Amino acid sequence: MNNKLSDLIKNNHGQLYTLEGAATAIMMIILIVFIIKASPLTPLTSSTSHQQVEAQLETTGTDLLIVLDHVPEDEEYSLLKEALMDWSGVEFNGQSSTYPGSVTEVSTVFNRVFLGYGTAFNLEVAFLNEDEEWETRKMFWNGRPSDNSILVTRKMAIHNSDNISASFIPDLSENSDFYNILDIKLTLWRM
Amino acid sequence: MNKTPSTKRLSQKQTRHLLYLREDKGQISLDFIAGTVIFMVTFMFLFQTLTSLFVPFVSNSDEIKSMADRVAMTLAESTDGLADSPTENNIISVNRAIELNDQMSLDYNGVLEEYGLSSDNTKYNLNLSLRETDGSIYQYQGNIVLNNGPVSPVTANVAQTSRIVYIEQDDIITILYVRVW
Repeated sequence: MNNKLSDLIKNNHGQLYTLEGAATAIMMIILIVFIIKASPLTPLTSSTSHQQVEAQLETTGTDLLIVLDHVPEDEEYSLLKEALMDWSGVEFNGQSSTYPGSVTEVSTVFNRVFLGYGTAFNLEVAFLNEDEEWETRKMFWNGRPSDNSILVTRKMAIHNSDNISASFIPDLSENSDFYNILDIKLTLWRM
Repeated sequence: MNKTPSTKRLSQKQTRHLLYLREDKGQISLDFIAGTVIFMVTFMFLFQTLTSLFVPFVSNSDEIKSMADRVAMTLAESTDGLADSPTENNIISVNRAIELNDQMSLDYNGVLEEYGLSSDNTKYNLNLSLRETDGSIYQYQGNIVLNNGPVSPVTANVAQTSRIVYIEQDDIITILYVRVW
């Protein structure tokens, strides 16, 4: 009995397994820490692609379309509607000069509200064609949007009395005052 | 008289204590030190690493952000805020804005309570400003309309919501900034 105990104390076998165990444990922990640290950009990291930034962009876009589509007391049309009625269907690329005057007014507002704060925008107009299918034309085009872009839309009814300039938008109802419906698509993304 | 001590024979009783030098027992205290060091290193590692490990996965500004959103929504869309009529969002009245600015100067805590930013336990801060699209403070007939509340801190998280509003009286598009912290 006494012999066995002293054997156990003097025994130096099996020590390598213990060391290996400790080393493995340390390596595992370092690996886990590394993996977690190696992904510093999660959806919740404070950055310009944070979901709250995108939410703010969406709010701003919706707000601006509402404000632009507001009819001032002494006017017949809102700023946006007047621009769309006068627009001949030309695609304005980048920062090229816009015409006529009402379109320039709207593009100036967009430039000041968005470009001044590092946000790029595209404005597209969708309408129903003769086959009653949606067709889209570009109005202001600043290039292909990034993957985390925001799209806000606003619908606008057009009547015969509005005398729309764009000839490619057809009159859907010859017998009534209803002319067509426009879907204004504003795409926003941070540059 | 040149006696060397090595040649002197010692009795068995005298030599017994010398045996301890060759003993390998009692070294368990070294293991103990090693164990303690490993434990402490692990402990420090946990404190150092674990606290910052999940920071990228946690958002700490959700609460104030939703509060800023709510205040901004009330101001821009409700007649309890600045809106001109209950049916038209984002069209605000300059008179209401001036009124709110005065109210914030006179009774800042009352305004906080009105917008649900203060209770018995917690109190948030609110800074409101109405700016033109170029960033300058909006002025109506030479007077600043809305720019009130404490200066936002540099060290704390501040949530900001901006709303685009139209002022009928002046026919101008302005931006309403709401900051909560």
